This record gives sequence, C-alpha cells and structure tokens, in this order.
Amino acid sequence: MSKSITCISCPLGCHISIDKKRDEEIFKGNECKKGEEYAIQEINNPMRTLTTTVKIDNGDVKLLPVRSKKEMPKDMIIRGIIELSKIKVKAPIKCGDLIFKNILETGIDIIASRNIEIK
Amino acid sequence: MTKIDVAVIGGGPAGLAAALKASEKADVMLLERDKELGGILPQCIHEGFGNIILKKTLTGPEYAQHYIDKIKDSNIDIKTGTNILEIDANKNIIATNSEEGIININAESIILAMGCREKTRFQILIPGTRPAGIYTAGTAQRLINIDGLMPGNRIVILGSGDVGLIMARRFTLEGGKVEGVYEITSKPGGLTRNVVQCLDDYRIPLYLSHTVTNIIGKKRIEGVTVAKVDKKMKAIKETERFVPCDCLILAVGLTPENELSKQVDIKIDERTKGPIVNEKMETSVSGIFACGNVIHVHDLVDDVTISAEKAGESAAQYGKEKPKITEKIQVVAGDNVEYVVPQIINRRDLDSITLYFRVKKENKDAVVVVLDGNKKIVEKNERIVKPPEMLKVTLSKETLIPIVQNELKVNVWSKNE
Repeated sequence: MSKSITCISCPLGCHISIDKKRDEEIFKGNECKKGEEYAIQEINNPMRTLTTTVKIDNGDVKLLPVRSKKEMPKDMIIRGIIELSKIKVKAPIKCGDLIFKNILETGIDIIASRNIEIK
Repeated sequence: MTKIDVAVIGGGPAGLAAALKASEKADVMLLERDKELGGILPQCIHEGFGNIILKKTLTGPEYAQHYIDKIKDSNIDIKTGTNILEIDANKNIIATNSEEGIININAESIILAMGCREKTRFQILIPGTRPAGIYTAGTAQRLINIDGLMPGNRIVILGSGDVGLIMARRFTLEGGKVEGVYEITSKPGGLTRNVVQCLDDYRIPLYLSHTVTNIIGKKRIEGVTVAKVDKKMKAIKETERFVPCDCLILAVGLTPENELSKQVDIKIDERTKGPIVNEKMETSVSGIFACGNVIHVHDLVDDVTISAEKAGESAAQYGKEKPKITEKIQVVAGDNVEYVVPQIINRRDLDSITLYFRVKKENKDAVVVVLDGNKKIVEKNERIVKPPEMLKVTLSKETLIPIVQNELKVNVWSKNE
C-alpha cells in the first residue's frame, strides 16, 4: 500500500510517499528526519485540535468558541463537533472553563476559548 | 478637548499590544470601532496563534483574551463602539460614539492600528449577475463563528489565502459541502499547514491555475462557471464548466486599511499599501506611528504583536526628548523581493533591527543577501522561500554602524546561480 502526505514541519512542505513492504515502512521525498517522524505520526495516528462553537444562554455574545485541551485523533473530530452541537452552556464563562468532560471517551476535555459575561 | 499622551486607533491584536506597551510609560487611550476588543481574533476560533510570543498554540479568542485581560487591569482609557471621523498632523482626533456624541481628543502621539480589509468582487472584476450569496471569507467567518448563521450549504471558494482555506474546513465541519477551492496562480496562496489541515484532511479539492469566470443566478446565486487559466492568467474558454453552488466565498487577499492615514498625507508604500515606517514604526508624519496589518499584511499574529510593542514603546517616548536631525538609510527591495519593512532606518541611536520582507517567486535553496553598495553585510540561507511565508533578517548594531551608503538593498538569490 502506498500513501502520500505533505509534511508541515517546516515551510519546505515535502511531499512524502510511504510504501509499506511487509512490516517495514519506506519513506521517499522527505528532506530531513523530521519529515519521517511526521509521516509516521500521520500514517499511524494523526492528531488534531478540535475547535468549534457551542450555544450559550444569556451571554453578551451568541456563541462560545471552544477547543479540545489536547490534540485528539483526527477521525474523531467530526463526531466530537456533532456531540458539542447538542449542548448549551450558561454565562458567565471564563476562558479555560471546562465545557465538556471526556469527549467521546477519549479522556480529553473541551474548554472555553474566551470569557463571556451575562447580558 | 481631552488631552492624552498616546491615542491608539484600533483594538485588534496590534492596538491591544501597542496600548499595553505604551501604558508602561504614558497615559493611553484606546479607540475601537466594534463593541468589543480583539479585532478579527474573536472570530478566528481555530488554533495556531501565539507560538512565537507565548510559546503555546492558542485559538484566536484565547490570544485576544490574554491581552484583553491585561488591558482591563491597566489604567488605559478604553472607548469601544467609537468611530474616528478625522485625524490631523497636530494629533487632533475627532471621534464619535453613541454615549458621548462628538469627542475631541488631542494626543502627543498617535498609533495607527486599523488592520486590513478584504478585497471584494469589485477589486477582481468577476462578471455576471449580482445575486445574494456572495461573501468575503472573513464575513462568512463572522456569520458562522460569531452570529451562528450559515451563509450557504454548497460552497465554491475563490482564492486560496489562509482565511479561505480555514473557511473551507469550517464550512465542512458545520455540515456544508465545499465544491472546491479555485486559485488563479499556480501555487496555493496560504500557508502549507493550512492547505494540509484544512483541505487535504477533508478531501476538499484545490484547483490551481483556475478562476471563476461568471456568476449565475437572479435572486440567489445558482452557480458559477470556472475555467483553467493560461500562463498570462487568462481564462481558457474550452475548459470552462458550470459548478452549481448557493454560496461563493472570496478569499482573494487583504489590503491595509489606510483611509485615516491618507487624511494626514502619510506617505504610503506602493507595494505594501501601508505607511512607510522607520525602525521606530514612525510614519512620515512626526509623532504618528503605525503597526500590524495597517503597515503590511502579516501571516502570524505574533509578528503583529512584536511590531505593535515597538510602536507602543516609541509612541510613549515621543515628545519626551527632542528628536535630533539624523541621516536616513533607505531600505529597498532588491532581486526577487516584493517589499521590505521598515523602509527607513535612522542612523541616530542605531540598535539591532529586524527587516520583514516577502519574495516575489518561490525559490528552493535561496540565500538572503543584504547589500551596502556592493558590500555584503549579511547573508542568510533559506531552504525555501515562498510568497505566502514572510521572511525576516536581523541586522545587529555592529553590522549597522559601519554602513557607508545611505541605502541597504535586500536581495534573495538562488544558490545555484
């Protein structure tokens, strides 16, 4: 199986192709070791930060921006966002407040990205 | 008439950092047109802010909150919901808001931090009808992330600047279908990181060397025609095809917002479209300083903050000592360089200076060479240079003092030539 990714470790943006032969992964196209490390992570377990907004009652703005406290598996981002579209929080909110504990059983919490005062 | 040491115009990332820095040594007033501080940051809910300055990756609202908290703890006079009507070279400001009516301010120094504006359909001249459903990327971002409104469900994006790429992902995550991102040049306009994490991650197609040739629809947009372009960026008629959509997003670049600067005849750099500044971030009008995207469009907010702190420090210092007449060194863009900021360095009180610049063309294995006449004063290798990625080169005090010519030229050469 062959896969191709673009490395984002630096502005060079190498296109790295990964060939899997037996148990060995062969990398082509990366100009440095960092590219290989990035490719291994991207192939086996790509991680991203989830960011979205949730509804808020009686706040001075309509939506609360939130984020995952740590990066989480990339393929869980959309499901996580759907979970968060179902909840509603109440003002006041402080930046960093816990908004949703242990999203999708990942052990990762969702926190507030800003302060919101009561309207 | 209100008297103040430093008046800062604009409460985005540049204005916040400039006001905070200036407030360490002066009385500061911060004037913001919107009802809240933060500028564009509250709507940039994605992460990627603060890596350089705060040594952590934050979202836009978090980065703004960091500075807003400090501003609220300071004794800065904050006026939100306040529009500036007029400024003059004597640092008189006429502002207005709904509580105080007309406000007359006289400042010792002014810091311009108005940021930039998005280019619109009328700056790129797309033919066709004028239906609803056409938005700039930043407007769509505000509608979705601040107002909770979805501008459309089937989206075509023209231009691959960073905001466009980020909005391609945002639309997708909110349940929209992005038909494609069309970029007229042969390279993406945004950072590689955004191409990967916003388009590749969600399998959104990027069509390079393509443009929108027509807009169709009476009341609401029904679709666009797109076509490949040739080397002269002219659409190739035979490649034209119809793409149905109910929303067209324009991500075709940003221009510094300098309506106020022009009122006082501040000299504007033709290439950056922002004020020409010296190493202290002072414009051509004595006592008026500028920072952030009003000078030139930055890729990273961290660099905006750095320029703002410099402007804040200089503006607070202004008027406290008499400026000495001094020789000026012009900094000019040489081979493969689009522009350089600051454009002027005063010989007086030389200190180490960082020059910010962009290249015209992508080049692998490049070398940045700063010339004093024919003499190389700094050489710096870059593995790759690309127009979307801003470059920096720092000149130490020791390098600057012996400069002979009154002109420094920044070149980016290919190592293989």
